[in-house]
Amino acid sequence: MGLFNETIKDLEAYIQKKEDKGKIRIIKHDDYEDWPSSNTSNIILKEDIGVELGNPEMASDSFMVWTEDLESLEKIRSGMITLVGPDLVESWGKSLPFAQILVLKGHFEDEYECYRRLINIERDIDLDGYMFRAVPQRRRIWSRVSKEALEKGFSLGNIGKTLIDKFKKEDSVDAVGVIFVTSTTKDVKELEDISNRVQRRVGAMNKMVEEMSFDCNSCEYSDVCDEVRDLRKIRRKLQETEVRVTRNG
Amino acid sequence: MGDRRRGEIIAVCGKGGVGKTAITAMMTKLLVGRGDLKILAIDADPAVGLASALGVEVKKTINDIRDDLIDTVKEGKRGDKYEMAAMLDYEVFKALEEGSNFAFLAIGRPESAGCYCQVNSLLKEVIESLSKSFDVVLIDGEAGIEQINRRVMRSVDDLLLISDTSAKGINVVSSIKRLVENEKAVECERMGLVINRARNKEEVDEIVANSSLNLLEWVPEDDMVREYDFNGKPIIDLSDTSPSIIAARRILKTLGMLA
Repeated sequence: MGLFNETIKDLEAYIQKKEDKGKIRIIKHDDYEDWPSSNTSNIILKEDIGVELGNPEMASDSFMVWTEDLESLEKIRSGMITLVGPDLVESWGKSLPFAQILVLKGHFEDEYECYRRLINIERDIDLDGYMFRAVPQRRRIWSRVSKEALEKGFSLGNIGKTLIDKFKKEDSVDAVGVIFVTSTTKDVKELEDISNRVQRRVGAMNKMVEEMSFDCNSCEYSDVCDEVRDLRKIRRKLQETEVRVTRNG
Repeated sequence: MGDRRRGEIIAVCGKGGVGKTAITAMMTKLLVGRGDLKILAIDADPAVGLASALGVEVKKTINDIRDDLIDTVKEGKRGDKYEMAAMLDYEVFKALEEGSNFAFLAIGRPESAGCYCQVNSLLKEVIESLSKSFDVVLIDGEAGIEQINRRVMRSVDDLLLISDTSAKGINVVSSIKRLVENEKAVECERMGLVINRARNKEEVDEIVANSSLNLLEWVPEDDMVREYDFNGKPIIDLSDTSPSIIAARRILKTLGMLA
């Protein structure tokens, strides 16, 4: 399936642009040890914050894309964490803009079912000294890292490693790449166009499946379906299923 | 807190004007003063008096979040239950006013007309889930105890029935006690009376002798509290030697929250 192949190419172009400017660092996920999960309360109040990422007053973006095309993901660097901007330890006491992007490679026969499952994995991250709130439909992620965790060396690498390990446990996922942007508001905002397109595609897919709505004349996503062949495939598949169910009574 | 488990929830209720907010603020001050606990203070009284008692400014209430979400639902941008829950979780955290070792959340005025059960129920789930991240949750309620159940929390550990020495105040807490015992208006492990602004122990004993209420503690009349109220100063700044702070300390000792 290639619901996001075109957006992944744009993401690669974004990374290339930052790389040309010497703004990126690549971290290997297996260079990091497992970070312990929080056994008790993981609330981080203002006075305990070591670094804050994507505060509601700052730029923030978060999305996930997937592909069955290995070549696409290799360019994003499977199993690697791409960091655009400073890591946490270099940002003591700061509030930074933040983007978290996940690129998955695998086999996703039912894209909707996969999306539901994968989005829950992304939310299910529990690391000691790391607290986050995320709103997928607004593509916002707001994280806090405690002073104590920073003192112990907590890094974006730990978050990336945890995400990669968790996703790789999924049968449908073969490879994962993670991108973090902490550099500037401008760098995060540059992702907005890609992120909007991802959300429109996910929105169109969700609407088709959840509402079984195929009236293209009244649908706010008709332009997206016209543009993305894989969405039209999902629609045809759903329509065929509906016809079969109707015929069989 | 000794051997007590984390996430103790204390709700305070009683007739309007008996000093619920002042007592909640004093308990917040003392628990924050321990330095090893994270406290969540929830103002469930539509008058939102706890904010000024704690010296915080309310920018957004739970009711504002609820109204925003209902507008989104009306526009057809609802999303599924998980998406709504994620959005509420984010917005509720954003609405927290954070102080040193404590956070404050205002529920706001009762909701406007219209049945949005799913939104209300999700909001309650989000508040309950957030509460689990704190060591102690203090809820400043209103006279209608069922409002705590409907808008904040299904169950609490300790329910403090606050009354002054007036017959009206005692009648209201007696009704609350009956509602809790007979109709499970809110589930609680322990419930006790706190008499506020009493002249002396004899006055307290007389009130308790004529009621079926179980006395937990009493708080004496305190000119300092009166002065702070009069001048609009935050109760949280009261001196540790104030008679009412000393009494609030006794309440928390009785609850096992202070040594």
